[in-house]
Amino acid sequence: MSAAESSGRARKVRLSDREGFLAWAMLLPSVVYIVALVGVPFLLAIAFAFSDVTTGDPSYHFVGLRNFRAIFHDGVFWQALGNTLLFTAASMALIVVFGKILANILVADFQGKWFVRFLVLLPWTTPVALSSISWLWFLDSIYSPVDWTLRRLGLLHGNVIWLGHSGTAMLSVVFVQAWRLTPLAAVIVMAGLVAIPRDLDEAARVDGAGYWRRMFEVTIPLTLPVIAVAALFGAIMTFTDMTVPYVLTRGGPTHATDVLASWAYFRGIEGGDVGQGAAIALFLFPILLAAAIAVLRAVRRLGLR
Amino acid sequence: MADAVRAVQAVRSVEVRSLVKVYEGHRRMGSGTVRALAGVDLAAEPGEYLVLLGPSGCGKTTLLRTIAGLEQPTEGEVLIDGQVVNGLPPRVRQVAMVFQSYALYPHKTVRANIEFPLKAERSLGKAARAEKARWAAGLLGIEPLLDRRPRHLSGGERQRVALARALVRDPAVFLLDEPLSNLDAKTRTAARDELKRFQQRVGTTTVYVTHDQAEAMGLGDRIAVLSEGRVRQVGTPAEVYDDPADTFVATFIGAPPMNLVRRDDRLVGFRPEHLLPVEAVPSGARAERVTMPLRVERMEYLSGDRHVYGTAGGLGADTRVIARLPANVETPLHPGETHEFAVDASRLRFFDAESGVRASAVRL
Amino acid sequence: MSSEDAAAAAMRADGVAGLRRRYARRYVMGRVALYAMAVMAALVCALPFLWSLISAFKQNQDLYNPDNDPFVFNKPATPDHVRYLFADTGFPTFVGNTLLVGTAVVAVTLLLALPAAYSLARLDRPWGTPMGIGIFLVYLVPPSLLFLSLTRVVVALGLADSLWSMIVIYPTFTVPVSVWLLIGFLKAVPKDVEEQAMVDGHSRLGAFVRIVLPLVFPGIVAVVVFAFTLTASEFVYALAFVSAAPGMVVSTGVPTQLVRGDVFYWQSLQAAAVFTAVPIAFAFNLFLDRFVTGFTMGAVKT
Repeated sequence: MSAAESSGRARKVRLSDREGFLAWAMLLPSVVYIVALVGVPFLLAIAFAFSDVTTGDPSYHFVGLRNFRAIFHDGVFWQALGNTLLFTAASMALIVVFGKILANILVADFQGKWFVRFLVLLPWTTPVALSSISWLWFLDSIYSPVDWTLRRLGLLHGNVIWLGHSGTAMLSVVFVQAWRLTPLAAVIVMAGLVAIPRDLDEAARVDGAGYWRRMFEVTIPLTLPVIAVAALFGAIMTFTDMTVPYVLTRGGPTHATDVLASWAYFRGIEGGDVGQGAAIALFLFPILLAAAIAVLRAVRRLGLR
Repeated sequence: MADAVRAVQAVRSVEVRSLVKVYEGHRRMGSGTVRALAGVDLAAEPGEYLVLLGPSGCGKTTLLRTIAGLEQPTEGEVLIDGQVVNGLPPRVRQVAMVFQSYALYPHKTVRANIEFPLKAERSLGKAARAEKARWAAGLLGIEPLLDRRPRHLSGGERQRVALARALVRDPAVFLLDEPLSNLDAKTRTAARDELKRFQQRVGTTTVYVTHDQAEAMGLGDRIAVLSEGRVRQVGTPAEVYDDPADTFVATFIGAPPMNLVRRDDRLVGFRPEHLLPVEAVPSGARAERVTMPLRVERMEYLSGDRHVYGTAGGLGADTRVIARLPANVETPLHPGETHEFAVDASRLRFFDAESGVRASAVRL
Repeated sequence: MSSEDAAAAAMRADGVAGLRRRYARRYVMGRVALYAMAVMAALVCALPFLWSLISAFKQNQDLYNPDNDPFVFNKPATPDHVRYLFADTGFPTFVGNTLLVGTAVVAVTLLLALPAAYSLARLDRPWGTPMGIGIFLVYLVPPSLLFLSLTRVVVALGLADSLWSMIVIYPTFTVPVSVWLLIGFLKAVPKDVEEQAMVDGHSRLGAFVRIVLPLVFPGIVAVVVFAFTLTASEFVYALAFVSAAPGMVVSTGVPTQLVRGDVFYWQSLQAAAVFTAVPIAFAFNLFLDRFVTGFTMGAVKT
């Protein structure tokens, strides 16, 4: 082998073999992409919150806290904040409980499991805007089959008008949100369930523990970190989501189901006041941050096992 | 004090009768059915230490799990203390099991792990539970570990916790599934010794699964050798070693395994330690010997013994055999040379060449 | 006397048969309960779709009569509304756009996420773990926080009302979750295989491309399906970036374009929902087990 050839080979080896260089080179594109399209817009969102930018007049003028003062004096903002918290807490509770139950069903062995899994996944894999449409018709003010069934059972005369009253509208929005995210939670919890060594469950059976004791003393403690992850996923996706209220009720009746995200959208895009919209959306951040830290800790605990 | 706490527990027997376990292949996967157990009859007397020995896939673990109630047999019966327990879940069978992984509950302390089986007995109060747990921990010398969690324990300590957890409920039967296989070689010997002393102390009927013949020989009152879902032989370690029922047992037990030489419709078997240079085998009116020329090919020195690998002729078909010469046999041997070897005739075992089962002796 | 003592005593007496009957009964009850739960879960989850499917084929006089049983055909079924959906609405365009955007986004995602995941899973750097968690947390930054400024960015880039706006922006949420899943799949590949390849004369990069990538192919397929599902479901960005019908995707086009003022084309809407939902759920179900294992592996060792 000639000297030139061997030194050429050495150089080639050095480039694609140096782990430090490779590690950066392979990671960098993703990091740059994310910083450019998540980091920068995030800072931009903060800047907008202090500006008078509108869709019609995109020139930037710093206006200090004017947008915040405006939204604080707007009753709808406070209502939306309260709605967001209620919407999130109620949906999350449902998601966790039903997600756990659903996961237990899905890891069990039975005939026709594949088909059941397929049906059960539908709510999550369907674009949320489309499934909400199915629900829109399901909860129609005149033709709702729910009403029809209730009428048949003699429990109702006329119609409930689910989306027309503030109470039932909120109930519907919460239910649909829980309905669509429960399969995701179930998949996450399933991941935790299948990670439990089979030995442990069998040891508990030999040790004399029945179904419920195994559930509460072995399975649930061992999947708690995963359940926490599922809960926080559900919480974050609900907290920041506007699709279900947007399609089902458009925030109505009279803002009864407006959440921060939908109110930011109506203000910022449809109302054209980008500054105020950004200021409203910014309120999502501190709570998100807290939730993210919580996820982090849950994941850490998961890693310890 | 320990004995005062311990409830009087009758020592029970375990028996299985024509046990068959068939795993149906997964329909969608297209895999065939597997006969994990193909008609097993076996009984452990009260207080006996019965070892199930066999290569992986022989059905020994399936048998153990069927006794525990974790698997339901396809056919046949499981009896504990003379009662058929088919269809009963593990928790009413009064068995305790130590898993290969020990299956300690990682989120519970050692104390909670040991108390866990006791919580199934609702008559026991908190204090009684704590007392029994202390007793079991004391028996295994793990009181200092009671407040630790399993992940902070060494392999040997985990085994002791698993044993304490198995012991604490006064089970009718102990079922142990390769409990030593996760330990390194050094701790394994100590742990084996501990297992034996432990069983002698508590005297509970024990069924022990292993693929390691040294463990089986060292621990078992009797050994059941399994292969392909069948029991090949049941007997004391000496019986299984000296009088193997068939060629499977003959070659599975013993390291190096028994030599088998084909002669007509028989296989003639003899252990490597019985194949010695002719001058080292006494001969006389009472002790007949069979000689054969052995061409030495290779030798190994293992802790004082010489293992001689070579080809034996004369006895039957030329066959590669192994001879194990103890240190006091000093006959000089060299690779490439042929030397006259001999076996004491009483040491020969005969097997049917077709079926491999023991057959009548033939004159050589 | 405890239940176990009682059980033992019963065993001792003549109660073994009774005990066995009790547990056999309990087993049967358990199975029945399981099936009942499974059917219930399937019904609750799929009922709106089932009912959408029936509604899609109903005649107007059948559908718009509150006294008719909504779960059966009171008048003969008709394919008219489904035909209308495919022939006279933007639905085929929306489907085409969704497929186009989905494919492009998946390609960009893999290009970015595969090397990143490999870097985090294998090329052990001290910053690997915090970086991995950092990337994962980006997934939790919601569109609702960013869509206002991203809309300005999209306008500035001249991508408004174009499919490119979605192709450029969607990887911001598909990349983090794909990296997370891929780390799990990559960690399942034994290190030995890779080291063998390196001993055999491949570079680190060569080992990754020639040996590791083919081995994680099933995982990659799973990630493709997952990323596509996320892309197809996205709503907020699509709504904010694109306001002209020809550039819309299914998730925005159907709810905004199939409704004219207050006139809802109900049957066609229902048909659109079902026709979109079924293929995605089907593909997702095929790879469900892989998502589950991918999630676990990524979670346990990051």
